[in-house]
Amino acid sequence: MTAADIRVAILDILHDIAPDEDLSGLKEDVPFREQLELDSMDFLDIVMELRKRYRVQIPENEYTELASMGSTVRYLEPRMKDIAK
Amino acid sequence: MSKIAITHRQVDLWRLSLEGIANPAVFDAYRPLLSPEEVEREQRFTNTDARTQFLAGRALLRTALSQYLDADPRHIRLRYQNGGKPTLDSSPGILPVSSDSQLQFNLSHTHGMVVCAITLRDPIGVDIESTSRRSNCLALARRFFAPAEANLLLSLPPDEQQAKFIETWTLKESFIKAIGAGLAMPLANFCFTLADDGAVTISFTQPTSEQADAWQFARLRVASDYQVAIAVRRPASEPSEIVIREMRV
Repeated sequence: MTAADIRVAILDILHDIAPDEDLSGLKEDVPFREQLELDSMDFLDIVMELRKRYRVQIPENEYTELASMGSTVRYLEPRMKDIAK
Repeated sequence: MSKIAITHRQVDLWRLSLEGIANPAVFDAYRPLLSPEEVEREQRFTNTDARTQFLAGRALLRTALSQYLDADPRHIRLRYQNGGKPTLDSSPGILPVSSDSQLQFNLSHTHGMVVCAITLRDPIGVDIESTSRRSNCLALARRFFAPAEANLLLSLPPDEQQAKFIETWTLKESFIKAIGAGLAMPLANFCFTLADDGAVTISFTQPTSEQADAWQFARLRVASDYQVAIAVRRPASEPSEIVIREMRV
C-alpha cells in the first residue's frame, strides 16, 4: 500500500468509528483529538481495526505515533508497504 | 485565606454539565478564564463538541483550583508532564498562595459532562463515560483487558456486558491517568476485581513499582447516565471521603 492508500484506509476506519464526523477537512498534522471527538476508547478501536483489517500490530509504547493523520501515515508506510491494497 | 478547605482524606469531585453550553454567550463567559496558550489551543479545534469539552474542562479546572488557592483562575499556571497530564506549576512566585501547595487534580470529559477530581496531595485520576455509550465492548475487552476481566465480561448475560465494560473501562482509565502513563501502560498489565459490596481491588499481571494496597478506587454515578471512576494513591488505612461539588453554567 502507498501512503495515499493508507490515508484512505485510515479514513475508512475513522468513518466507521465516528460516522457523524465530517472528515473532508481533516488536517494532516493537527492531532485527531483536536479535530474530531475521539477519546481513548475510539483510539483503541482504531488500533484494533488496523490489526483486524491489515494485520498491523502496534505496541503500546508507539501509540503516540498515531496522533495525527500525517504521523499515522508516516508510521504505517514502512509497515504496510508489502500489503496489497 | 482559601475559600474552600480540603483535608488530606478528601477527594473533591467537581462536575459541570454541558447542557446548553454550546451557547456562544457561555463560550464567551468561559474563554476569559483560560490562559492565552489554552485559548490558542481551543481555537484550533475544528470539532464543536471537542472544542466545547476542552473549553469547559479548562474553565472548570481553573475555577475549581481558584477556590482552594484563593487565586484568580486566569493566574493559575499549569505545566504538562511527558504523557500530557497537566499539573500545577508551583515554582516559587507562580502561585499567589504559599508555594508549598501540592494540590493534585485530574480532568475527564465526555459528551455532556466534565468532571475534575482534586486532592490535597495524593496522585489522582478520574474518568467519566456515558452509560448509554455503545461500543465494541467484547472485542475491546478481549484485545486490551486482563484475561480475568475479559472472561468475566464474556460470562455475563449480554444485557449486562456493556454496563460492566464501562465500569471496568473507567476504572482502568482512572488508574493510568493517576500514574500519568496514559495508554502507554498496557491495560492488560493490571486487573480489577469488583465486589458486590462496592469494593474495588487492583492486582498486577506484570511486574511494576506500584503496590496494590497503596491505591483506593471508587465508582459512582454523577448523574443517572454518567459512570465515574476515581483512582487515588492513598492507603486503605486512610479511607477517602468523596465530596461532590458543582460548577454551574
